[in-house]
Amino acid sequence: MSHYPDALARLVQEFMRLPGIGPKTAQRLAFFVLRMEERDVLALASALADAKRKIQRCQVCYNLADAQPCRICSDPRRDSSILCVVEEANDLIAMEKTRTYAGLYHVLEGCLSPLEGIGPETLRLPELLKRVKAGGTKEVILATNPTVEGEATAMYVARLLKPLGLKVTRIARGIPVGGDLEYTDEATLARALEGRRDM
Amino acid sequence: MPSYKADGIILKARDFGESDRILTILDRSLGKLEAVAKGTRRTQSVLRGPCQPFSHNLFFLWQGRTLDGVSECEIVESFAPLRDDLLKLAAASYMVELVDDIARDQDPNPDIFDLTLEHFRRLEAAEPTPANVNHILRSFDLRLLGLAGFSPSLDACATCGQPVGLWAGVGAVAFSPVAGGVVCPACRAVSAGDGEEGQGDTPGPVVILLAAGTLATMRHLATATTEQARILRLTPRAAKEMERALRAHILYHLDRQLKSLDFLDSVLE
Repeated sequence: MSHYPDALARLVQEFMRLPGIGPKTAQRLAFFVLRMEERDVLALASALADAKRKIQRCQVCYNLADAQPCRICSDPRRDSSILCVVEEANDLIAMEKTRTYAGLYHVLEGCLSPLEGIGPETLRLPELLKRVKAGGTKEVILATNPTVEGEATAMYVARLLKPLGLKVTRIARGIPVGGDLEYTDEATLARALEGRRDM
Repeated sequence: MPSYKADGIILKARDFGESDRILTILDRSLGKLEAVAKGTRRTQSVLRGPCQPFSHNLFFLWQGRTLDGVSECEIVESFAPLRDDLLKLAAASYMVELVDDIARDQDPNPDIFDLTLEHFRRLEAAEPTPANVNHILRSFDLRLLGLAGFSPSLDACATCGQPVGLWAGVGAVAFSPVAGGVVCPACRAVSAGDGEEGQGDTPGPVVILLAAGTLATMRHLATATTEQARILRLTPRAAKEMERALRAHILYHLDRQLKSLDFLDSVLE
């Protein structure tokens, strides 16, 4: 880095901390910043600092939020009798983009991974049980990923919740919209057949 | 780019980069290998379904400079029930972790491959009860240890070599993970560590007491075929004692606790 001026070397180093950014990309980004208008650079810096300072976990659902509770938890139009359990906050965003779900969420902040030694104690499970036991919840939708880890998490959560007498459901798995049966793998097709419904 | 085929079981699939997964595959004739399945985390990927842990597939692979890659994949046996039941999933995770630790990279061991498949099939067909799962896992432990050369000595004292018949009576027999099997009373008396608690630098208990019936069951299971093992009845006491002895034996030989054990214990409760 000795061939860079100090301030530029620091900027390249900071970019290199980001995931997927190597020295070449970091250098390209740093040179781009140097060409930007000063007000745009300040806006970027302030956005970074603001996000770090203001974004926190909602103490009800553990979604990322800038207020307590988050906008979803405090929205009176939401159906508080349905809880959708997701692994991470970005899964919640994906669910929200569907515009078909009007209930509340619970973010587990991870998933079980027996082979990595990630057990239930690392997830927001006590908080989920507390919410459900507080009353008002009629259905819990398990929307963890259809991976081995996601399935393990869904089964584990279902086992915890079933004794409470709630309706516990799992999101359907099958052929993606716009998919082609010929190119669908056997495992997915088998799931789609199992999950068929009346028309 | 050179390519080759593999007939293998997926032991592990870990996320890599934006949408890839690195698979650890146990192949019958190539041994353990790693390959990247590109784009497999994307919804549209045709590799997504077959590239699940425990799946037995026919792989078409390309040779890379540092890492090989999966170009096509066909399911031979998906073992989906192992992923659809919490108890079976925990047991299968334990099995693949043990195989992953014992199998060496590109060192073929067809017997370990066949043993894993046989026990996956047994687990798939079994009623998911803690007793059934424990039964399958103990049979798997004993036979895998045998194939890997870590078989505990069950016919003779692991220290002096005296046959069990000459010193074991109707009472309990001591099993020592450090000695590598059962130990006769004379050797047990002269060994420094004598107690059920862990001592010194050795992880786990020093000695585990086995009832005479438990020892007989272990000896039978170590050499039984899968069918013979399946019809053998295990008493709860024998199952518990075998579990303690074999876990301590595995811990001593691997020198680390298996990560999947805590999860297995939590679902066996």
